Amino acid sequence: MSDIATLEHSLLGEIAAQEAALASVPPRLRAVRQSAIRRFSETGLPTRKDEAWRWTDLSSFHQPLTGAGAEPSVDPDAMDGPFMRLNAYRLTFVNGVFRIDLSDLPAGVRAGSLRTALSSDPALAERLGDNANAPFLSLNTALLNDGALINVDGNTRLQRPLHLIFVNTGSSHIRNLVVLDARTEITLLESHYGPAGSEYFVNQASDVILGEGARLSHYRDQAESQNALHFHYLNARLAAQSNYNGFTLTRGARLSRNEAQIEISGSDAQCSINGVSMLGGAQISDTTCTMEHRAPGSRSNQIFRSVLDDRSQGIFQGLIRVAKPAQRTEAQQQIKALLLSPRAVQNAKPELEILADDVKCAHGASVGQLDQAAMFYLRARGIDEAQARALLIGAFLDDAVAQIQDGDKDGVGKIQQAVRATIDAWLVQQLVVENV
Amino acid sequence: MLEIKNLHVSAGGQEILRGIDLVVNAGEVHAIMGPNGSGKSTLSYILAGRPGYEITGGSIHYFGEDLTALLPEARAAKGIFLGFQYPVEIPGVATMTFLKHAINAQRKSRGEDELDAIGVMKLVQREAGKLKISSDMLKRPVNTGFSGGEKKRCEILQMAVLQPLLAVLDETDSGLDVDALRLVGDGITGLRAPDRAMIVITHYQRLLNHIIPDFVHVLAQGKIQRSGGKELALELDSEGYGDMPELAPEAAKA
Repeated sequence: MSDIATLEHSLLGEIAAQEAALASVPPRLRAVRQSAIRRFSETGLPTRKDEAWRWTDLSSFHQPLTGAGAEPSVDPDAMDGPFMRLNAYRLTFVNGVFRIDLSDLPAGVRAGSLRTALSSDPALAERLGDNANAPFLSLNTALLNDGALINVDGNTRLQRPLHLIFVNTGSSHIRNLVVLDARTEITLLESHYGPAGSEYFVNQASDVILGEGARLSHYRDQAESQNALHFHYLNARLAAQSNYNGFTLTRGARLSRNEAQIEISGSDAQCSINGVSMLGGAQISDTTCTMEHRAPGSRSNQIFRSVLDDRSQGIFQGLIRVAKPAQRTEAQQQIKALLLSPRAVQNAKPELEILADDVKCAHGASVGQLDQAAMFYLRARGIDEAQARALLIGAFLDDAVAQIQDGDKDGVGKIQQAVRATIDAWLVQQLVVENV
Repeated sequence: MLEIKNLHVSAGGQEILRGIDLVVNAGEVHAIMGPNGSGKSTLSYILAGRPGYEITGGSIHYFGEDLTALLPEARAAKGIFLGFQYPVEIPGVATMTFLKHAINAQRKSRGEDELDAIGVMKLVQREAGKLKISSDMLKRPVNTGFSGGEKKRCEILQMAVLQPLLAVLDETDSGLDVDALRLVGDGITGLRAPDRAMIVITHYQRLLNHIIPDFVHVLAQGKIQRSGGKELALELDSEGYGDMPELAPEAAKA
């Protein structure tokens, strides 16, 4: 039996074990989950023969994709991440399950456990996205543990960001459903942690549904255990004049994949999806994004920067698709990778598929090394090698960090600053350890 | 301060410097002139420690210490400053941030207290004013989008705030118009001091109207061919390198 088949077998076993429990699930949710089960059973896990997975080989992974894991200790003070010190409402999830005792919920906004919400309001199940070409999304729906439901209606204005904290030791299928009604606005932060060295599989999916003129700032810090697998599938649906601004900082996990399926179905919407990956050791990080412009006058931009050390690998696949009605679309995509080691690899596949005739689209991908002339210039001014490298790499990554739009009123720039501090700390650690 | 003995340097398998001897004492200004390709820039890079050059013979001592054993950053902290012929653009790093890092890295290396942001800003702004460098320029990324003149003024600003003991200025005059040349020349002259030496590398005599050298050396074919006082620069200016019989083949190539 191949490794893929072994992994698949364990997942199908888990699905079978859960199917009996579906009998007690409300019918509408049951129907959605059963359809996902059928779909996953048919497609199975992707292999490198699938175009969307050509550079990410699951068969080389032996981490368990199933299993509950030990109960982790949750100590927010010990968690080291950019968002932990920000003043925010908190929703904490342990192995994918909402823990109200570790949470601080806002008033006036529907925010809490998705699982609980689905049992009292089964119609919500129909808002969960589906995609025949996304096996891990099907798997997520099939095995859905819990996650956050956030619904902001027109009467509420949150003064602080909402912060979702995920602590993992076991495998979990986390689902977040974020629905912003017309002209509402929030900042949503996510932090993902696991104890150092622990092996587990996080299969997260997020459905983001933005009403007309709604605005979501969505920033994620992925700091899973270096032995974990972390997958995130984002499905965002943008109505007219809505605005999605996203950023993912990837620094954890042995293998991570950030997949985004953005559907701009209303006119004059804006979508900005960005990220920084900082990888060392044998880490692999895959960013796969499909930006679908289906309505006129919308703008999208994607700025991704990665810095790759040791034997790490970065993968970027980005498709911008502009449908015929989406005239006056402006879309750009810019990917740059910096290789710090001769064994590090970046693969990039930018693609455009344009059916409208009045559009402005630009994309570019580059892979390079540190500029030795700049290194010498800094060192000739007394800045030592490690610090010179940190300065140059920090500046390189900053193009993506600068895309973060800090939404909270009294904290202009706080999120950007916090992300920069985390990047700087990583650089100091990575570069100093290397020099020893 | 600086003692170079029979220095031989190769790069990419080619010998560039073929036996340089030079002694520089505190307070002195030495001009090094010569045709293109004579090894002037190589000499400046060797002093600052740029990777990619191999010393195949001879020695360099700086305050009695073997300079070649030191990393570029250690040389800078000990007071060696290279004014680049082509200052490097560093997108994303603001000039003020860069200066703060440079000042404090050197201070830290020398065991001095680091300056806080306000201390750095005061020091930089005082010197920037003299060189007509605006605070807007200090916010821009290092050398990025600067004109040729702005880049060279920024080099002199760095020299002014870093206060080196030995400044090696590599073709600081190249690419400058008359006004910029005067500004830069005055900036350099203002930094002359009894405890500071300068090596001014130039192709033309014109910078030396602003910075009067104590000694002039002619470098060609990797060797110092002639040395003299400031009048040697004037002689070269009127007669050119081609009229020196020993330089003719190299000058012809250039």
